[in-house]
Parts: sequence; structure tokens; C-alpha cells
Amino acid sequence: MRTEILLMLLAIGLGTYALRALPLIGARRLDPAGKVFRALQLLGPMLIAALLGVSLIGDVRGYGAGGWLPELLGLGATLVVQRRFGGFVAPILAGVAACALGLTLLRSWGG
Amino acid sequence: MQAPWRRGLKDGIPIALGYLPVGVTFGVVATQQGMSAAEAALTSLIVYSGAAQFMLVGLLAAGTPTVLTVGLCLLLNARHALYGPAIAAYLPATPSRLAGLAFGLTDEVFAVALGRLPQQPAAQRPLWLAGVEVMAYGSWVGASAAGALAGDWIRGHLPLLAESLPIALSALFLVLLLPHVQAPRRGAILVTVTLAAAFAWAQHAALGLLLAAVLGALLAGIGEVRCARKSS
Repeated sequence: MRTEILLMLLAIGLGTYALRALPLIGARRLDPAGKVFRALQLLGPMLIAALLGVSLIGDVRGYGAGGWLPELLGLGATLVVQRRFGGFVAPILAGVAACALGLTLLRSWGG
Repeated sequence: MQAPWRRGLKDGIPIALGYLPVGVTFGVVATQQGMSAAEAALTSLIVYSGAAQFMLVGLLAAGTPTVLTVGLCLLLNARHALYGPAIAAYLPATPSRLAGLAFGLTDEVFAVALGRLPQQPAAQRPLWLAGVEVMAYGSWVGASAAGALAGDWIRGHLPLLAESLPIALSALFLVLLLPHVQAPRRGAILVTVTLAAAFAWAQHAALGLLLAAVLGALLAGIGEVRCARKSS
């Protein structure tokens, strides 16, 4: 283990931890009836929406040409199973299975 | 009823499903770029932030100065500062407990926590979240180590599984977003997803994530004010 790498990892690890911990601990003082609290309640779901947008582009890039097919099949299956049965493990597994099917189709069409 | 930490472990399984292939990929990439297997595993153990770890490996390989590398990785992780305040109201815990729980507050853990914390009995929430975090952290560190030691073998023998598992994270975000997709927030959510995707497409994912979320919250706020005015 190189000392320089270890020190760098510690600096990034401590910095990342501070970014996660300080706002979480500080937020305990927020007034639940205040505007800041209300704004944060709006921000939460939008952060998930933004994470979805970033994540699906990463998936599509990873699948290569035609990558939208497995992505749409996967997320479509997730949506259908979630609406039909609820929960969140089964919809996600269904999404993975449909995505694998989409990738198989993509590869077979591509020769 | 199951113990809260056990329920947390179970609710963390979808995150683990998504982390496994990405963690393996990190282990492979890190060793290919010159890190030892121990250094790759230690990176996941200490930094515990996928995007920053991939960036770190790339910057190290490019010979970027240490201070700049640390600064860029922290800049990429600046979005994490928004997660704590968004879930703090659902987390009745002492500062020391919150300090412990904060370590595992990744993108995916935040998304699960925001969606599922309100459904847990208030007193059990810290332990439930600890369970989710242990599952996520264990899978990330384990997958990184496995990737560093045997990544090529895993990808060679289970290629379809390795390739299709990453969608688990997108599917997880979709499932967690669904309860929020209703008027007057629907339009704001659509704009946020599209804008973040566009930035990611242009290779500016971290910046896009922050901008899209803040703009989306602004639009949602305007929509809710208009709705309230109409109904009054």
C-alpha cells in the first residue's frame, strides 16, 4: 500500500463523510413549519428524479448501440409489476430479467 | 414483526443488486489502472462513493496532482450535502447516532430512505436505516474486492447477468419516484429527469444532478402555490 494513495483516500473519505454528516446533524434544528423545511421536502423527490435521469443514461451507454431497448423493456417491466403487485424487490427483479431479455434480443439482431 | 435492522437489510437488497456489478467493475478498472487489489478494496472501504472512486482512478492514471484530485472528487460529491436535510425530519436520533448513519448515506441509500423511512415506526427508523446501510456497504466493498481479485473470471462466466444487473439501480429510483408522480409535481418531475439525463449525456452528470433537482424543486414549488391559489 502506497502511503500517498492512503493519504489521498483518507482526505476524500473524510471530506465525503463531512458532506454527508454535517448537513444531516445540522438539519435537526430546522423548523418543520418553516420555508426551508418545505423547500427540502420538495427537493427530496426531485433528487431521486435527477438520479433516475443520470442513472438511465449510464445504463444505456453501458449496453452499447441500441441500448434504449433493454432499458425501456427493463423499466417498463418494473413499472408494470410495481403497479400490479406493489412492493419494490419484485419490480426490480422483473426489470433486471426484462433487461437481460432485451440484451439477448439486441445481440441476436446484431448477429 | 421482524427486527428493524433485519427489515433494513431486506430493503437494502435492491441496492446490493445494483452495487454488485458496478462494484466488480470498479475493482477491475482500478487494478487495470495500476492499483493493487488491496488499494482498490480500501478505496471502497474508505471513500464509499462510486462516482468519486471511478473519477479518482482516472485522475490517478492521468497523473493529476493530489490536491486537485481530492478537490475534484469532493466537488463531485457535493450533492451529498443535500441528502441529510431532506431525510432529517424522518430520523429522530441523537447527533452521535446521526453521525454514525451519515457515513452510509449514498445516492441510493438516500433514495430508499426518503421513500421508506416514513413507513417505519419512528423509534425503529435509525436501526432500519443502519440495516439498509450495512447491506449496501457490504455489497459495495465485497463486490469491489471480488472485482479486483477475480473480475475477469466473473464477467467471463456470467456475462449476461453482469451486464443486466446495473439496471437495478435505475429500477430502484423509478419505484421510489412513483409515489411522488402526481399533480402538481408531475411536470416538474418530468423536467428534472429529462434535464439530468441531458446533462449526463453531455458528460456533466454531477452538475446536471444538482441543477436539475434544484430547478425541479423550484417548478414543483411554483406548481403547488398555483394549485393552492386555485383551490382557495
